[in-house]
Amino acid sequence: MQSTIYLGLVSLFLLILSGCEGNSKFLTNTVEAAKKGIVEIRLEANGTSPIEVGQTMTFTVKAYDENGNFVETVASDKPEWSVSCSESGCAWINEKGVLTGTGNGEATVTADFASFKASTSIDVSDAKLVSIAISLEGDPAVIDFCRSYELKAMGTYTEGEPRDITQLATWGVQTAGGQIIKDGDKVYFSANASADVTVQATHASYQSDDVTGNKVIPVDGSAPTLTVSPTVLTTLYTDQTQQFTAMGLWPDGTQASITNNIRWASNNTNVANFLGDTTSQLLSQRADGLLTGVAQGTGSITASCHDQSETVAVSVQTLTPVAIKIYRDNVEVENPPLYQVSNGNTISFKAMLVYNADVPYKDVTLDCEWSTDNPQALDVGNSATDSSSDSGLQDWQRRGNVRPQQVNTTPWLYVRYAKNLAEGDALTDELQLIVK
Amino acid sequence: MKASFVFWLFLCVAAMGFSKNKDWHFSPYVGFDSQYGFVKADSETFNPINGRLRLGSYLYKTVGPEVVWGGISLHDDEKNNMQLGIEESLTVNIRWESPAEKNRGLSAYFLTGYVTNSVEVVNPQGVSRQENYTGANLGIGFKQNYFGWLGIYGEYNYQYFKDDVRISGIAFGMQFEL
Repeated sequence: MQSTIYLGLVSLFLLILSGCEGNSKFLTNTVEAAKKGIVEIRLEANGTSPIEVGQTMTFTVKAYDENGNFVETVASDKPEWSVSCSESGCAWINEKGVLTGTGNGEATVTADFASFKASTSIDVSDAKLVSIAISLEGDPAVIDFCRSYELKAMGTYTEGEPRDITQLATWGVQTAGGQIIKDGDKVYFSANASADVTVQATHASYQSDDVTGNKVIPVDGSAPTLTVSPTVLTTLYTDQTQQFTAMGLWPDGTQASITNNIRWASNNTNVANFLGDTTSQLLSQRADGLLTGVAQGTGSITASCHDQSETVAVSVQTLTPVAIKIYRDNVEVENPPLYQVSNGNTISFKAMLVYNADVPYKDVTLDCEWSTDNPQALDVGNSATDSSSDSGLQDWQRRGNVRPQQVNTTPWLYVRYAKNLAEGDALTDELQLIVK
Repeated sequence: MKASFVFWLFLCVAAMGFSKNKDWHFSPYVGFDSQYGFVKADSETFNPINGRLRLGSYLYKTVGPEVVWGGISLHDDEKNNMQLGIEESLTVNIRWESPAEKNRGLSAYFLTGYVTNSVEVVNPQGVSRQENYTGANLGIGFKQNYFGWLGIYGEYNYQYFKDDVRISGIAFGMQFEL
């Protein structure tokens, strides 16, 4: 009897040690692709060949159905990425499809998603950068104020054809009167004063020193008439945003959006302020017209460019949270009836904050504490970090996600929101689940 | 590699235990069954069917090692134009069986071991790929004995659980004691 118990314990210990090994991602991807009707994938790069040694290029997998219709952009960590080189060690690629050039050669990148494969080739070159030539798109004869002009930087190397290095270069203006605006993968110049503005682009290629290209842009054109919208802002709530836009009308009759080319300023930053955006990068002072309510009060904002300006009065009201609601698939979960979920699956809920005014509910899923009355029956995620392979968290461990563990149970899911609220004013909601 | 390591470790541990015990004996058996699989991925469950061959021996009372080879694919399941089958499986178990009358007794048993499932997937484009899924095998079963040498059994095995993929199966078959 003693030997049997001994043997049992040892074998169970070995079982625990052994764990599970297998490419779960492949199986999950294949099932997911089949359900979505995906029959083809295509590979896209965010740049052009060749690239320099040390330069990165991001690849994206796009999925299509049998009629050639676009289905979705596949998340970058789902495909299996590989690279082969015409010459040893010309590049490597990480698990998210970001390729880095490491030596001369032709790199063939392959993405394998659910047994669908797509490949493309790019050249990697270790040629040294010799000079940079800057040009303004369209080579305009006159540079107007507040208008956007696209900039290009072409690099000449010790070998091969000149290459577009607009995105690689570091841009700046040497003299006041103009600004550089990066918007996505494009770079623009916009002027706001009469001057000869020198624009600079600097880049260092593999194992070379910085190379700088200069271009003097004489700004001598016309200023537009500004029109700001909305013209009046009676009510902006705290923590809510209002997008202002500006149109420019030049004397020659041309009209263009200049929201991103002008300066936006608040006369009372304690009440409302332009906090900038994440999609464009400005190398001199600018904001993008997105106003955020900070605290209750009144003030005004001014849009200005060159000798033109427009002012709009702003009133900010306090927004008070009054309730929290549990949502599933962007719909409020009614309770009762009880909400039925499948055992073992990760299910995502959202916590939406309801205010004392007619404004959209705010997603505060990650700001809430989530809990249950039955931890044995329901795993409840309570990590405010996004779950991903980088953080090492499993998907269900993120706040708002739950994973039922026992069938035929009815655990309660609780959510509590207390951020910036006085003690005792925390908002709660609850939902009873049926695990099947 | 890992499976064979665990298997040999099992045998060593078994030998250590049995050498001190006079209850040991060598009662080999062979079995045939078909397993109805449950391969679950991304909330979709496929049900491939495999024929399996079982070889083992009771060494200590009704406890002993066994090997189950499931290399006869009887049915590949298809969903959303995607086919999935278990091309081959190999399980190394320790069987823990309750004592039972050999002529007409009913016994229950547990299986603890290690399993490798070679899963073949054919995507909607007709591209085929095999992947191995290995892990602990935990099983429970019942066996009805007849004639002193025949057993009719049914068992459930839980074989793989990682991320959102699960592999399990129920099997029914016959066992002959040699």
